[in-house]
Amino acid sequence: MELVEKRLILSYTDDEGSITIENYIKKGGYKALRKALEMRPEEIIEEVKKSGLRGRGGAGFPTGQKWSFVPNDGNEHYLVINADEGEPGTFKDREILEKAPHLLIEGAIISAYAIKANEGFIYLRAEYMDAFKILKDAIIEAYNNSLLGKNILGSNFSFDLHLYPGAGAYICGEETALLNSLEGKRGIPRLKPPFPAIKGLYGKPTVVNNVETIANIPIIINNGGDWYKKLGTEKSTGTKIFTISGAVKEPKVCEFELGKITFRQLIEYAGGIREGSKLVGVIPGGLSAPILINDEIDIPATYEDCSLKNTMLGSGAVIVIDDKIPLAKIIRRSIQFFAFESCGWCTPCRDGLPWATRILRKIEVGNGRREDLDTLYEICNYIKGKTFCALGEGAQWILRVYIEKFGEKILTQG
Amino acid sequence: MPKIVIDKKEYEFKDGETILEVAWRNNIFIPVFCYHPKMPYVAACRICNVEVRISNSTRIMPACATLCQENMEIITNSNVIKNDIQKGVLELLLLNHPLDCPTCDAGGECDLQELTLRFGSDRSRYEFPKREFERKNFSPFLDLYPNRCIECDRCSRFFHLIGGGTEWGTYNRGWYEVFGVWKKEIIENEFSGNMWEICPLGAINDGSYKFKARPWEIESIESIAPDDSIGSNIYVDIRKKYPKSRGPFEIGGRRTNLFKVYRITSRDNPKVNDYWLSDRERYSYSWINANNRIAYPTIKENGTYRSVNWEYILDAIYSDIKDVNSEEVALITSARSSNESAYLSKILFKEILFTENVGFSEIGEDAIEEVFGYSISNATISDIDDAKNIIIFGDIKNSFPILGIRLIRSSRNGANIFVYNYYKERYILENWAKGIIFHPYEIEKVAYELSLKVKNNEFRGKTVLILPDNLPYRVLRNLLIASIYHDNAKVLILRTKPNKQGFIDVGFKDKSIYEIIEKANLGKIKVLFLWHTDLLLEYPNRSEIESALSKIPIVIYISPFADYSIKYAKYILPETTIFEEDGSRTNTEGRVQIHKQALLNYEDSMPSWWIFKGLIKRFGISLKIDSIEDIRKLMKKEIYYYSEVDFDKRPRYRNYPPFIPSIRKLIKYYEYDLAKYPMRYKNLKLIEPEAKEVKPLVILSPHIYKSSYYASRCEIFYSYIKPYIRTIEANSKTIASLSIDEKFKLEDEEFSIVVNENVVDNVLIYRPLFFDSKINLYLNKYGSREI
Ligand SMILES: Cc1cc2nc3c(=O)[nH]c(=O)nc-3n(C[C@H](O)[C@H](O)[C@H](O)COP(=O)(O)O)c2cc1C
Ligand code: SF4
Ligand code: SF4
Ligand code: FES
Repeated sequence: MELVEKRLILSYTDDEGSITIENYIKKGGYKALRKALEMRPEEIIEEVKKSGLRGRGGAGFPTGQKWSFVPNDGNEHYLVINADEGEPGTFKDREILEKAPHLLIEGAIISAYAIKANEGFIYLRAEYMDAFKILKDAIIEAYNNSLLGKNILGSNFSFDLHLYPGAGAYICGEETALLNSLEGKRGIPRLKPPFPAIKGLYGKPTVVNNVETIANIPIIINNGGDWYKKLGTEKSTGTKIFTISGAVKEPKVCEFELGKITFRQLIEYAGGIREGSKLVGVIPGGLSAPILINDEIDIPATYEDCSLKNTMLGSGAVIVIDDKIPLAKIIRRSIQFFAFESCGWCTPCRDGLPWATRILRKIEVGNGRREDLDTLYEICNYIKGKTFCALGEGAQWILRVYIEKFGEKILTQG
Repeated sequence: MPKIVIDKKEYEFKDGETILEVAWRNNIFIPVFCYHPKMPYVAACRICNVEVRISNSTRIMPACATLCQENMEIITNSNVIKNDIQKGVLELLLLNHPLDCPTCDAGGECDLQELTLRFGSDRSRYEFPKREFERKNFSPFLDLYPNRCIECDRCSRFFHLIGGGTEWGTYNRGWYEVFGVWKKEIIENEFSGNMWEICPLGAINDGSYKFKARPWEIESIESIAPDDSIGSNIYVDIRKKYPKSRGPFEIGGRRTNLFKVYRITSRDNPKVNDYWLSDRERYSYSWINANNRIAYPTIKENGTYRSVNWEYILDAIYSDIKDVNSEEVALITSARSSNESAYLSKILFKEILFTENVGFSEIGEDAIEEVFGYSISNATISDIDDAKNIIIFGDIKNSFPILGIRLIRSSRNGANIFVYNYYKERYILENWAKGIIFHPYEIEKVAYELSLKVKNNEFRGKTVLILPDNLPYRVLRNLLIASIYHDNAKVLILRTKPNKQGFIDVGFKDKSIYEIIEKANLGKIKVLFLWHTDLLLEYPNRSEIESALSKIPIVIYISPFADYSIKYAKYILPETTIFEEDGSRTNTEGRVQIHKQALLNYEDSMPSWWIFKGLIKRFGISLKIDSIEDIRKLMKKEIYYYSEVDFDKRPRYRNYPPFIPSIRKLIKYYEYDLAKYPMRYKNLKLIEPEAKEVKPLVILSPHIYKSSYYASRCEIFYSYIKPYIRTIEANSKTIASLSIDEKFKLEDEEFSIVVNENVVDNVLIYRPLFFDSKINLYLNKYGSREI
């Protein structure tokens, strides 16, 4: 069967010069904005709710529902766009930021209008220097075309969009740490509740959304929530950008309708596994998603199927793992990443992960013992459900699944 | 009341209470590291995690940061909690801990030690190298060991949220997270000492206590900080009076070298210092063994000194003063002694010697009594907490540092703070307060305008005026009158002498010391008692004072320290200090607070009440006084305001876990009684200001450490005050406008002039050094006394 992409977002990135506003408008850009400005904000939220769109940042929280938490109090609200794409294996947002900046800006304006925010911030990963330049130019273009600033397109709605280069930490992708960082504080998560939608940036109600989530908004407004909902499965509507990397022949960014493709097909789409090696497993949604081993990857790539298999679709970053790299090294490298990026706020993650890393390194060089696996498993118990944010939680989750799925193989494969 | 279930038992809770608060209150002692009852919770350490069951789902939540909800079911002692959490967190915290308890000053009062003993495991499975940090020192007050830190964030939370500072913080991420100081060599925050006290272990230790003692050898005695009139509650930590391990501590009734103050720690009094201390209060104690303490009663005869015993010297004084006219006797004191001493001295001076010549300070006339009917504040210190507007006239940071904690807190809570001064001080520069900067000669005008504003209710809501009692008469009077007209204004008078309120309460009236000096210069004073003060150190106009002292035939010098004016004394009587005597003191708001004797008397020194008792007895009046309690009984009877004051006030208790050393101290807290004062407000009219020409002026301004009678004697402050370099601060415009003559004059006096653009034009600020009075010559000429 021929695999056909359903390129809703990526279609805006296809041709040369896609970043200019002229090209974007030629492709039908900013039509959704005009349409949205004639709707009432509540209607937009209703439309997004109808579409069933789930956050593409990792947690998969329904976007319309998140927006409706923002109190209707007439006070200041903020929109924050999470472009701190730091999850290893993930480069989907980069595609949008570098090739379709206006899609993001249009989505931002519509989202801000829906949640009644007059100010928005894009928190951009500092290493994305090209994206910074492109986005900055695009924002200036938008201002020049009266798409940003006071009275957008002659309406009553005013919206300013600020671009803010991040502070170089993975944890600043976590929404509350991001808000702290944006305020100029140390990048550590905040206590929840209160959730950002009630008390966020500078204590004001704030919506934090992923770049891809926001980029979906103009498409939903253009075609209607019902149309969007017809794509995909019941619980995973629409399309999703997948980034396929690792042991494949052609690493790829592609966009598929959710539920219409399995992980094995995704590997095939990326040219199949590289020469001379055997597939070990697939990390389905960025490094913090537990691995699916060879015989589990025939499931459709959807939110619900992944969680049935005790993993998650996350950011849609499919990392393919073959047998050329020792298992212990892969695990060590993964946990080391989380240990290095732990913000240090809570004890289990701050001290537990580096300890686990050291044990894994010992295993990697061949000095592992049976008891080391027990210790690792116990460290996972120390962390599970006891940390402040999902970083530590995710790290122990993948480690636990590695141990459960591979057991003593980890010791011997080193 | 709503209820929650903890370990199968039901407990009531109030809205907004956390699980931890309810549990502790009911004797379920969940362990904590990062939680501190006096600070906001952050849920970082995770040792307080408990299992919480709401609507059929069980989750693990930090007890310190989870608010109670109806129908919550909490389990604090399951296996998961015991093994994965309490044991687990301790194992993780100890991975990097150097385990150097034997050389750590916190050993014995360390949360990590205690909780590990109670909940932890006795071995570690960690077999890799520990991380290490370089040690740096950022403050003489603190001794830092970053390797020991468990990243609980208490210190930075204190520093940012309560101390209002910015330079201290935690840097780096994760495993390599460490505290440090940003862009500065030295911590410049007047509250930094609190950090060692809230640090749960020995990562931050008391710099002044380094390697001196162990907590089990130490006894904490309740006392009061003597430096200012706020009267912060402190513990004086001394070696146990009857130690088992080392001795002897007394030889023939005298204290030995080991018997000294080891450190000062904070004592919780929510109404006064609220558990926090300023560095000046905390580290000013080495004066107790200063090398100029007076040891024996001494008489000067024919130019030579002779040590004598107490009976002899009191007899000699009596025979010298018994026939002197009452107008020819004078007393000058800085009101640094206890109420009990003040009371007996009042009997001596007012009822036996009948003298009117009693002076405490440079300002004599009492505007407060004139307007309020009695010389006392009508606001309390805790009125600052819920005020909408706070108006400060003059200096707080240097003179009453501990008030800063409340001011910063109020400012955070949205109070408007206005500071009227001739330079921009810390709270203005850091945006805690708005500054109104004026030239000292304009003070009357500025105060008058402010008074009109207050009077016309331009400040909405609760307004607190904070006014030092040494403001010029007309300034103080106008502001007091205005406060009466305001709907909701109160005045907190700040006494510039530590126990001046107590001295007023026992019946003294303050006369300007300069009046007495003037009389002495005219030869009208024959007997002068100089009591716990040194005129030559504390006041400008040195030549005038010196000539006056040399004209008085009998100067009786009662003081712990041999300072400059001692050379004019005929009789020298060694007095004990606050840490060596029992007593009570009345702070600036009228709160009568108790301090207990911590040390034996220094050599032959005696409490001043005992000295006055001896003199009174020689005049043939026998008071039935054997102890401090007898004086208190008498005071309660004779002083109407103190009739309901409880001098035996017991501490109150909170239900906190007894096994967490850094919190154990908060179990006890103290609340002392306010005296009851008769206020009779008068509706007076404002006085219009007199216009004055604005010209250059040198003014004396307090410096937090230099100008404190006690702190300036302590070496630990020297890194902040450069004791041997004298400075004058002025803005660059003023410096440029000084004539050559004036500059020459300054250089002649060996000042280094420091440019400080925050000072108003035409003003040179001299921050006095206690042990240096040369400036006074210069001040004489320019008339600093005018303000
Ligand atoms: C450790 C951690 C890192 C995260 N990093 C990112 C990130 O780089 N980009 C992102 O969009 N969301 C990231 N998230 C998810 C965000 O917290 C948040 O769920 C998301 O921004 C919400 O947007 P959405 O509802 O549009 O998905 C991260 C979460 C965690 C716990
Ligand atoms: S889980 Fe890790 S990253 Fe998250 S707050 Fe705790 S220490 Fe920081
Ligand atoms: S130095 Fe002390 S108070 Fe500060 S974080 Fe470390 S352990 Fe906590
Ligand atoms: S997390 Fe509650 S005390 Fe540290």
